[in-house]
Amino acid sequence: MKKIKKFAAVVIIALLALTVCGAVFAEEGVPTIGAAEAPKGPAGYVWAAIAVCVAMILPGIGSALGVGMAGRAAAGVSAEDPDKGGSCLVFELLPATQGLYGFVIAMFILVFSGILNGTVMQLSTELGRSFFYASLPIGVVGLVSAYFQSRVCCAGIGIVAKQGNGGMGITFAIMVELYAILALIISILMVVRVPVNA
Amino acid sequence: MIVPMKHISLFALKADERRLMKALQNNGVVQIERTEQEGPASALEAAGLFRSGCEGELAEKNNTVQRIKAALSRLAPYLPKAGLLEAPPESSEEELIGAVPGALKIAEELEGLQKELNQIKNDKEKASAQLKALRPFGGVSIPLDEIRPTKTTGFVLGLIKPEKLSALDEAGVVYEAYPARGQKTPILAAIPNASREETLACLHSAGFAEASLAEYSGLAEDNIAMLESGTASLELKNDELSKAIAALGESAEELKKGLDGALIEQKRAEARCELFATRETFLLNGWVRSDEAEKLETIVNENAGVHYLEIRDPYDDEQPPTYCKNSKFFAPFEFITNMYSPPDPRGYDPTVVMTPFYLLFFGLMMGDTGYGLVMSIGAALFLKLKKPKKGTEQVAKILFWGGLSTMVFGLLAGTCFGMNWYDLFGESFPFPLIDPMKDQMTAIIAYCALGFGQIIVGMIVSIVLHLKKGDWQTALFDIGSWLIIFAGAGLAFLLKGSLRYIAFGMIVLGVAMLIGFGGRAKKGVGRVIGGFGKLYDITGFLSDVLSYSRVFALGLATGAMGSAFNLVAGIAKDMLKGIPVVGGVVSFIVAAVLLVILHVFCVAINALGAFIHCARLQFIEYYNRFYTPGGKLFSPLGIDTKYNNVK
Repeated sequence: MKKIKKFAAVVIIALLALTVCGAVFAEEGVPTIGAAEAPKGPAGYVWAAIAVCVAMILPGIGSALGVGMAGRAAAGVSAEDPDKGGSCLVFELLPATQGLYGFVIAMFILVFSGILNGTVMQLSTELGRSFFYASLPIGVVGLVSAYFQSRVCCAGIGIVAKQGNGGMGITFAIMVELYAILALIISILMVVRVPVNA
Repeated sequence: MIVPMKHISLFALKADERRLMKALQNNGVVQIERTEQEGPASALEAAGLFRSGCEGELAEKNNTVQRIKAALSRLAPYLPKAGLLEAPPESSEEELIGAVPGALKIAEELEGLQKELNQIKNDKEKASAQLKALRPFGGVSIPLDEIRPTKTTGFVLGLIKPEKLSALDEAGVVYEAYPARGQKTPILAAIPNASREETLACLHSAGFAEASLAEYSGLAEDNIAMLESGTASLELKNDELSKAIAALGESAEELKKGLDGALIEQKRAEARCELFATRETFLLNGWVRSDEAEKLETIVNENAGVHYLEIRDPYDDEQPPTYCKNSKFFAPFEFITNMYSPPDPRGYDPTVVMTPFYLLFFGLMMGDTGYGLVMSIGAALFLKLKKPKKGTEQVAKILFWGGLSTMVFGLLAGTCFGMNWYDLFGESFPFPLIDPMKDQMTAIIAYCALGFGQIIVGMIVSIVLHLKKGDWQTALFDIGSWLIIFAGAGLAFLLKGSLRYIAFGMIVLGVAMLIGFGGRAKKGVGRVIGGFGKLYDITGFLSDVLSYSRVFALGLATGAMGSAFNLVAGIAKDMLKGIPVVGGVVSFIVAAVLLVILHVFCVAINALGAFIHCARLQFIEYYNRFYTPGGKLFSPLGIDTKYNNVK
């Protein structure tokens, strides 16, 4: 229970931080939709940068927590029986993928928003904010799903300890990942469809 | 294909037992089942029946295995490292068993050395504790055994801080101080019996700490010298023993062979414990593959004299083990099915109908020709050089074929080492046919359609299996009606004009079949409600089909990760180029090393993801439709070694 509370606190703090960021930048004023010339400049860049941070940091935290937890369980089992290390490793690596999905989205945002090729100053505030929204699905779902997937993985490592191989444990753990994958798809679709060149 | 099992019961003479068990183990044809007692134990014993008295032998074999294992783990730091891609040596079974006594002897020698080493360690610790206690008294000039009480006065030897001596003087305590060998001064205090309490209280308040050195005789200094020289010789001996143990590391091969031999014997002893025996005969119950029954008969005839062998089909209430036999190409993919659960022995082995889909989706999920090439070559080298066995071999083969599939689908819908085909060969290059980067919706729909195809195949397999069982109602009403609905829906899209009514008719027919017969197990209102309930399955189909969108996400993630790593290496190269003179070379080397490490990581993590997610698609979306799990794998008494492959 204690762990769950701690974890919930991390999530809430992260979300609060995001909201504060949003509120601060919202003060610049929202241009009316369909305005002839949307304002461009640093604000769009900042939003894109926040988006990159969200996509990388939140799932990164989740995966780090997840791999850490599963890694401790795996180390315990392989200390007893080194031959089981291989099966445990699979379980340890499963929660690592959310961080990689976040990395993929972060790279997409870097490329599509023009941060990498230096055209980001052309980005309007609204489009910059679109990147921020696009980063939220994988950010939040990645964080939460990595943590809960890791809990299933720890249980799966328990199966390895008792039976010698993971068996269905891997399938159980993979079930949690579906939601990270769906979030990844939505984030990809949102990022690549931001009409930067329109 | 599932090979049917035959149950065997064999009565033979105990005189032939060892020879027969050895032959059975070497051929690996029989899974021995524990012969359970029927009736109360006392009645059986009265009739001269008892469990084959082998517990003692098994305990001895277990002990042997444990001792050799312990020796190997003790010697682990000194063992020569095995090459990463080095195949285990080959030996014959006799050779391995012959190595057991030698290995035991080494283990015994090691145990002896270890015991001596432990003794020395204890001695050293004891000596260092003694030295610690004695050292401060190095300056005491009277022999320690001469400190004895007289009639009226006792003496104590101890340590005190030099500045407290004046306090003793003031209190009138009589003492002799010796040169200090440390921060405190050793003193010999006289304690008159008359004022014993007061003197002691006075000493203690001055911080005097009494030493108990009664066990020593002679001068403290001499004792110290003796202990020091003793410690030095202990050190020497310690080094000698450690060297002797390290030298035993050279006999690792013999130990490993011995362990494998001991494991073989242990397994045989375990099997013997499952037998049931009278004074002169034994009874063996077990399972044999029906295609190996004749081989078993030959083995028994050759190795047992008088015997009775009964081979029969399993009874309906018996649960035989499952053995699947597939061609060389399909056999490794049994691993995937077994990860879920081996098939029911009376069910259907799904390996053949699963493998094509597994390879298809694996290829799409990896979707990178370069990575496919790396995987195939890596797996092929591993198989060729390491010659793995069992599960590892199967996984390596799956990765080999998966790599080939990845190469093909990387061309159709992916990248090469994270680079787009357009970037490599220009816009006119016809591949990839579907670019998930540019045309996401097409890709998602295409993959979901492939998934839908797999589900349809699963339903058709299910219909065939139900028809084989004679259950035409389930085949037609529960599954066939859905196929009719899907076919109708498909035609409604394709056909134009009045022909469309045929398609609508099919949909209506299918729905009517579902509502009318879906709830046929129940009666009255329940039947209709049950029928409508079946319609609700459509949500199951939808979620199953959407589940295949993961193929898109994973395929894209592989390519995107690869291209991100290319980008990182490129940035590193550009940054290092600025270094004068050596910049060109350094930036090239750094970028090359980065690329190799990052791409190897990318292949590994994505292959793991593709392997597992692809297996999951088979388990949940596909096997759901037709598969009966719940078997136990056939595991015949055989030879299972750790370090040596048996010829």
